[in-house]
Amino acid sequence: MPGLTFLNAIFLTGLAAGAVPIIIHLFSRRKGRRVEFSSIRFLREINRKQIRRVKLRQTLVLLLRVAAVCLLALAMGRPALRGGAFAAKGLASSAICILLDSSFSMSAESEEGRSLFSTAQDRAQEVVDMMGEEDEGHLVLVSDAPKVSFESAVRDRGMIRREIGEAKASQRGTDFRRALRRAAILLEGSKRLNKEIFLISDMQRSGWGLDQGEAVDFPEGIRVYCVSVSRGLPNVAVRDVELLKALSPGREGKVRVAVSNYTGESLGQVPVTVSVQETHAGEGYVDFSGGEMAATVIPLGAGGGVWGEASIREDVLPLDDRRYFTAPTVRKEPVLVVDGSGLESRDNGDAEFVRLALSPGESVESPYDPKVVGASELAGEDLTTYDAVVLCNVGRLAADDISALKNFVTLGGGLVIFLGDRVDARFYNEYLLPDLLDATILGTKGSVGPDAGFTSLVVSASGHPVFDGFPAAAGQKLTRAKFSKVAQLNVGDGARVLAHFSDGLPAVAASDGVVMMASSADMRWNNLPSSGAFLPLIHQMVSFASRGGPGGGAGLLVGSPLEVLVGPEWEGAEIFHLGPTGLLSRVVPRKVGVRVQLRVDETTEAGVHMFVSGGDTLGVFAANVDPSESDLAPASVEEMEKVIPSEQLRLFDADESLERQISEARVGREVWRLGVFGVVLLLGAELFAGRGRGAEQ
Amino acid sequence: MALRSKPSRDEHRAFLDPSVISRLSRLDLAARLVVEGFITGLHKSPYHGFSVEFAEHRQYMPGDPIKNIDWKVYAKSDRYYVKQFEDETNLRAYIILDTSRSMTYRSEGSPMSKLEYGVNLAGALAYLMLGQLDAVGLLLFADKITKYVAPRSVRSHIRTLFGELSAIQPGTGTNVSACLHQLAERVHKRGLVILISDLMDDPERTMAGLKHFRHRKHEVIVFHLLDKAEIEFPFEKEGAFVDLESGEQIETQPWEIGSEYRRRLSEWTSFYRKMCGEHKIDYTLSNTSTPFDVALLQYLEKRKRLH
Repeated sequence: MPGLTFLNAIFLTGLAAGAVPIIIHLFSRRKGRRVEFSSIRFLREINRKQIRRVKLRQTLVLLLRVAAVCLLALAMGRPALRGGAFAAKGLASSAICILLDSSFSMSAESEEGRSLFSTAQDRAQEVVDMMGEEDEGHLVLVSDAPKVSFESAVRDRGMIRREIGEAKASQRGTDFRRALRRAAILLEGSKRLNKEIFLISDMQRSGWGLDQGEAVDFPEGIRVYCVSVSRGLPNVAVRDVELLKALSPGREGKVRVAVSNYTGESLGQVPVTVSVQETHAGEGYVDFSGGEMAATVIPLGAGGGVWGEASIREDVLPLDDRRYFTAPTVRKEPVLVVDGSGLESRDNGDAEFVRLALSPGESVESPYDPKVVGASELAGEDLTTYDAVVLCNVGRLAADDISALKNFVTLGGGLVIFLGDRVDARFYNEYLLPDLLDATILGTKGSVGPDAGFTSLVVSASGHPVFDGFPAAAGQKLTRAKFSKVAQLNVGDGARVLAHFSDGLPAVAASDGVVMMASSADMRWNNLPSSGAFLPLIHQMVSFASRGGPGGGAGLLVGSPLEVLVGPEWEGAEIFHLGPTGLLSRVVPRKVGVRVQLRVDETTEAGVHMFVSGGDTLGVFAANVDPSESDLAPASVEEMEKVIPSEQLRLFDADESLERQISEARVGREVWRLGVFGVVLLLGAELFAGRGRGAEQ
Repeated sequence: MALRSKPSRDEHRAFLDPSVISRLSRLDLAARLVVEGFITGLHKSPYHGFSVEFAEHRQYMPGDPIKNIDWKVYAKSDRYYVKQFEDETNLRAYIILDTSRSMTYRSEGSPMSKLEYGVNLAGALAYLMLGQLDAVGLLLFADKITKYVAPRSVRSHIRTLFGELSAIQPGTGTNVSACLHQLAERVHKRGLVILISDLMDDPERTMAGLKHFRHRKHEVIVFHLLDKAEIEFPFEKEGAFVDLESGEQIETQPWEIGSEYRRRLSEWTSFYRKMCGEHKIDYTLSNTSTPFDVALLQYLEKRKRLH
């Protein structure tokens, strides 16, 4: 059934103006002037006969005036008929934005051998088929970095069809919120009557950012059609690979492989194969009898190597059935650990646990080469020879040291700060933290001792590189470690809270090149150093602060930049980026401080990436697909409504026809001209009905 | 020092305009000016009398017939004099003036009310008639006769008439026919009856009263006075019309009933004109902007026919 809607509903308040003629009528009656006349004998006789006709005419004129005013208000409200015959193609001008999901999960293939992305392309073409001559369209390829295909809206359907046909699924993650916001911005400025967003996707739950709270704020009038191509495909994926023992020639290595089962069925044991530099190095099984995620440690042969991959049998998403890793054999990253305890022996100092974490000894291969110095010795160190500096419970620093640290961070060095009882909060707030981290220390909370209460460390920024490999999602505990005393931080807009304590206080704050922990790195304020999370957390904090680390490890996701700092001798050298497919591309070295930075802004493929120059390998990176892409389960309608307001959301199943529902929802034709015409007619009728008066006048 | 010259012919004529006369407060002056203005416009002076008995000489005035110039006196005095004759009149005129409340109506833009017009007209007629040595009486009425002044022909009678006309207080309702019948019964000697009224009464009964005079062989002149607004009904705004006599109020939309009003008014005046014509009554419809000479001329023509 066609429906009537008003595009400028605010003008409907003008209907109240319909009362104006009535008020004027009543007012003029009440205020009618007294006219003295010699004799009203004629008037009385005439009036008696004509009064009924006059009243009828007056009523008619009054009704016509009220109707004219009301109709004018309705016309100004821009009434439009929608649905039915009025919404046929070509009658309604529409601006549409097709959000074509090109994230990695869309590569999943159904049993017929057809990928979800191909199905999505077909559905997108259906949307284009619905476009009329006056309609305009945008195309955005959805991933965690949405790509807008056209600089401005295009009316050439052929161009949009071509772009859709030529699009390829990427290996990147999904961020529906970002894509929807982008689409809303694209449509906001359009003058078209209908504004529609078509999200054509597998509606993967992990892409909706359900932990991010509020729904996307769409401008009024925009409708969002979610066209699902999800087939509920079963998938098993290698979720993580952790090199536990170095791949040194002549020595056995060890790797931990975690596999996730998203099939919803019990798979029992699944074989896992590990190869190092394309040579079979070991194999094992993961046992899924315990749940959806299982891990196994696989010993590797003594062949040695720089990179490798762990794989399982291929299924609907072949690329997530293998995961690449690298061995940090290229260069150990020098890290300066500053001990603030003031003790002669570093073994009992605050920095000892950090040093141990960065250099755990022979049992675990570490990419870091830490050096511990006292706070007073900082001035004697050439910071440019370090990739990162870790301050452990340092009370105060000399002005020159602060200046050197800030310069160090500016030149690309990383700074990790652990607090403690020696820290002078006022000094930090006034001298150290400004220009480094938008945060202030307000004081401490809690106490130390056996009876002290404690809080836990809870993840705020899920997926952040600092927490790479940790299974905890946002809002979940990162570790079982207990924090009995913490510093109270006030984190400004210029910094990001990566984790918070269970009582709500910020725990880990970070900005570019700086990470600060609101507790100590020893056992006095917490027992974090004794937990299993300490080592990877320290490694990843240092890695994040120093913008990547020496080899990138196994934690890079497709789309991440590749970056490594090498010695000054490589400045001006001919250096190439070698991609997983063997494609070589030239890299321009850039001097950063005394070192040389090699950088590729974005990785597009999973696999092993290298920086090479002649016969030298300057950096090896393993880029993998986002593990959250492997869970193909779609979001429920309720979950989608957390992101898209329910009144703006329409959901289409995989095989559901688009045209009928969309036509019904579309505003078909503006009819304000009819309204204006009606007003003119009514005014004409009013003049005609009131012609008696005109003639008299 | 320049001497003030005598009023010109046009200046005299200006006093026939009611809008000019309305500015004068003295009725005697107004009446004199009206009559002189009227006479000035005539080619023949009405003051020649109707008797052959010489009375006196009078200085020639423009408009006097040349034949009346006494050439003997001219030969002696080198000035023009005309001979005047003593009137031996038998004309008795009764000016009947309606003073009802409806006569006080004066619309916006009108120079004066109907009553004021009637008073001035009556004064001018009286002045003119007494100037011709006719006997003039006055009857004022509203719903009943409020004043009756018996006709006399002496010049001093004019002061009595002006005094009564100046002291008129408007009455309330109108009962033209009753008053006419009453007067007709009282007056036995034939004469000229001049009715000045808006005739806001039942037309049949009013005509009955006038016919009563005719039955008694009186000559009758009717000056039917209406305000311009009563004739044209130019009202546009909705309002309540209040009857000046009864106070009755009626709400109406003038633009709705205007044309019908004018049609009915036309029928009403036509009725009077037709009935008066049938009974040899001179009927003149005037509004308060009509120059006074129209009425005065009407009288003179009637006077002429009577002799």
